[in-house]
Amino acid sequence: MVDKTEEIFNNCLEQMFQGLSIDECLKTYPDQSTELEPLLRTSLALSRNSLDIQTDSQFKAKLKARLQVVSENKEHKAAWFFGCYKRLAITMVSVIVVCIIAVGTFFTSSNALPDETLYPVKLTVERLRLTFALSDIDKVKVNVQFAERRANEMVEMALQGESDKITTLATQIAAHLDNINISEVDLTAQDETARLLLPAELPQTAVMEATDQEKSVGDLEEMLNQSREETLNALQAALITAPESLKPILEQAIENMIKDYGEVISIIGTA
Amino acid sequence: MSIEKDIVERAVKGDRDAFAQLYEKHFDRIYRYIYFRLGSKTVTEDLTQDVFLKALEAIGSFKWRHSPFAAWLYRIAHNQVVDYFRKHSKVEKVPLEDEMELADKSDTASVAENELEIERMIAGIDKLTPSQKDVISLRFGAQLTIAEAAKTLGKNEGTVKALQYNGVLALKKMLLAGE
Repeated sequence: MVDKTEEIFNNCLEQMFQGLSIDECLKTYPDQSTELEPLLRTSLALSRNSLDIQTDSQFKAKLKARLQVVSENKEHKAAWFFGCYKRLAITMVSVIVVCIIAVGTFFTSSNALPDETLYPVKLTVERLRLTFALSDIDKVKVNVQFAERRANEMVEMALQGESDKITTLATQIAAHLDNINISEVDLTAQDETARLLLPAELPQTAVMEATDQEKSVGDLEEMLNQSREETLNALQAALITAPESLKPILEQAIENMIKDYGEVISIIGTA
Repeated sequence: MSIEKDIVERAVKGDRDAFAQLYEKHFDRIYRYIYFRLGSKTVTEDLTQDVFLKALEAIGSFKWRHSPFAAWLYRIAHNQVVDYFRKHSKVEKVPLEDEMELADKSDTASVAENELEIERMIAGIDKLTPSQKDVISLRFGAQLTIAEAAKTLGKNEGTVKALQYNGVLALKKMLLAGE
């Protein structure tokens, strides 16, 4: 419980801070005046003594100047950090935008047709895929895939009546099939490392190699037959709907393709 | 929005002039508060400088909703004083008459009387309990309100009033005994 004198003292002190004199306050509380007066006079002395303490104006001015300098440095530092952050952010955003554009272009170009702007990008990506194909067998597979793509593009071009594009595409299909030079393809390339790790004299190794080779040849033959069938079906369908003027060109392309596929498949069969 | 709140908010956003205004407003009171606690001009100047440098460094993170600006600033000053006492368990006080600057030096007798009175007052404050010293210095040195002193010290207003009363009572007894 708060002492009554303490409460009155605190009230009087607040009033004195607001300009009331000690005597005026004591008049309000005559019963406590004897007890209150010395306390209020001590408080008044404390306040007066506090105001008597004068600060050194030179020190005050010097400190103010120092604070200004520190403040300016802080501002410059903040500006420098913000500048760095801004540059970094711009660079990162630019890199992200370039990546998005590159990835977008890459994916969009995969469906591009010969008369479209992104078609050269598609061909460049295909060249890169061929360059980075890991083994000869992969190269064969990629060439077959690209030959199929050209055939599909040929169908589209036939629908659009682009005769010159059909001729170019037929040449490209022939080039892809020519690239499948089976005599240079090492059908056991995928197992080369494993073969080197095994003792050369072991008869089982030779048997394993022969089995692997047969399997690879069989897979390729099957893939080519399937590819030929799909490609020719698509082109035959296009031939039906193509304009009369294009039909001879398409027929010639189909004929060449049958011949090219046939040659490649027969070479693989005898490999 | 009050004028001080506006100035504080500008200072928080990095306005140097606004910080300068706050410096002008609080410098003397901060100085007196520290002087009440330490009684040495040199140390008071060092600590006053540290208080404002720290305030400048931290003003960007000041949030009005946590406490009023005065409570925040005097809390820095209070912490500086506490740190000082922690580092220097015994403060070697410079004789007051050698270094005190008084308001009016024209009257030598009056100056001497004032010096003596301040010396006695600081010596008396020094004998109070730490909490009483805090409250007396904040109330009479820095002239904070009860609410501001309570916020600065993290105590409730009732406790601050009781410490103020007991502090003044103890000082009265000491001063009377010294006469």
